[in-house]
Amino acid sequence: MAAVNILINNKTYLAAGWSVAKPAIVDFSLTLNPGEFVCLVGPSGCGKTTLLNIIAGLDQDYDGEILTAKANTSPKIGYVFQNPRLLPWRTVRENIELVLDSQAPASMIDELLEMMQLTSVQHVYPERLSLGMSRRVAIIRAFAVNPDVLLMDEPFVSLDAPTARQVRELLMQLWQRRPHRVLFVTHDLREAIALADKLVFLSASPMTVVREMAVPIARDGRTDEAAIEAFRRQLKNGYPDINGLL
Amino acid sequence: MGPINVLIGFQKLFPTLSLLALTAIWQGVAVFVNSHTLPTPYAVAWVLWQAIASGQLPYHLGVTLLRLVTSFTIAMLMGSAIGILLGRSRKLNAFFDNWLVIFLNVPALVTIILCYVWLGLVESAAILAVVINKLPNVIVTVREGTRALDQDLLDMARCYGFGKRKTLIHVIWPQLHPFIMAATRSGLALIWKIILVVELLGRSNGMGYQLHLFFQLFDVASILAYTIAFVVVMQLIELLVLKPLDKTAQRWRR
Repeated sequence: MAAVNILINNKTYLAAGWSVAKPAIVDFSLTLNPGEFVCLVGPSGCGKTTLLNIIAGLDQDYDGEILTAKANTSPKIGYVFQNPRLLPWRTVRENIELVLDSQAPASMIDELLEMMQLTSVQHVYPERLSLGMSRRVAIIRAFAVNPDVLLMDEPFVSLDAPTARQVRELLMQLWQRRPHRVLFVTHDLREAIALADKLVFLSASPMTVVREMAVPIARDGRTDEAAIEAFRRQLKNGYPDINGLL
Repeated sequence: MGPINVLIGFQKLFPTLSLLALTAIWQGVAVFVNSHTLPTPYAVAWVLWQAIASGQLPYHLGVTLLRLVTSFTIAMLMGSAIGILLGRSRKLNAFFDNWLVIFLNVPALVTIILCYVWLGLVESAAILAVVINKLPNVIVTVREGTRALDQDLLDMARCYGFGKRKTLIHVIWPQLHPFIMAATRSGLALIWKIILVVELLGRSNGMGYQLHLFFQLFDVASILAYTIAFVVVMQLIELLVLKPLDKTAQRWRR
């Protein structure tokens, strides 16, 4: 499995009325290596969701390309949206089954549900779940398709702190068993450090990459709050260009 | 049992009581005017029973119901398909919107007469007339539903590679369901009224044809008996078909 390269020369939304159209993304380039967890960090409104929608193929109106190992194929996408976007008229299990081929083994879904601690609610309709549970279902759905790129758009936003921590830990366990390329959007630097192999800092609109940086903390040291805080300080003090973005 | 329980128990009887009250008023007025143009409930019940026993009423009611089911099915299927198309495509809608407005405003009687004139007094003309009357209604309702579709869910379906069929069944149809049910209810009420006129003008069987005969004979008892039979059948359809459909489709709601 080779890398996935994302090149976006220019993405400009159509302007309303007579106002001049301003580009949303300019000269953006990012490489996603196999099994790499990449966090995009940037100010809100800078165009992160726009970027994810382009990669997901939902937005085709841009100048650039997404390159995968096989030429002329778009990568298989798993997408955890900001809101869970489950079909309310299908049960938790049906929601997962729907994104899979009919040949997909039921045991795989069982295993995913078990890992995310959702086995007991698999036949429940999503409206009866809490937000944290719905988010976990959305995460399972994204992993289940065995994606080339797994996009996550602030999946822990508007969860209370303990729930967010729980879902984050479950996500890490799941990802270590199934290490897909992950592109994770957040504006919380601590969260990004706790999760990522590589941090990508983005500028405000028009969005472009300011700096890429590997996280030097070992995977099993990520629960250590002090280490994360120390790295965060080091970033803030050492790199004024980053500090201005957060 | 407290006074509140008595009140609640009493309320359960309300539907029955209101029907009894209506019958009582009818009885009172009928006795008061004492004319064969307003027979008593008992007289009507007797006529109803005889019409059923002779097989006349079941036959004509059956014919009308068959026409209702046929034209209703055609109108709903075509209307849903066209409604979804117009709701999804701005260009198509801009083109066909005027047609819709015109067809919505053509009087039912005009379509019926034209269908009979152009196709002759045949069954297909009768069905076509009903379908043309109902179709614009379904299209407009389903079009509104399609416009209200949740773009977030459609994006989700696209990004996970749902095909057209899968998207229709699992994403679009459940969202349209309330609109389809609205079109169904208003449709049944509209269609059966139009069918009677269609039968009156150009068929030799069915409820409309029978009512026409009774009108010429001034047989009010038979007219009322047929009306009661029809109301009962329509209520049964509501209770036995539509309500259960609603229930199964809505069970995911909190």
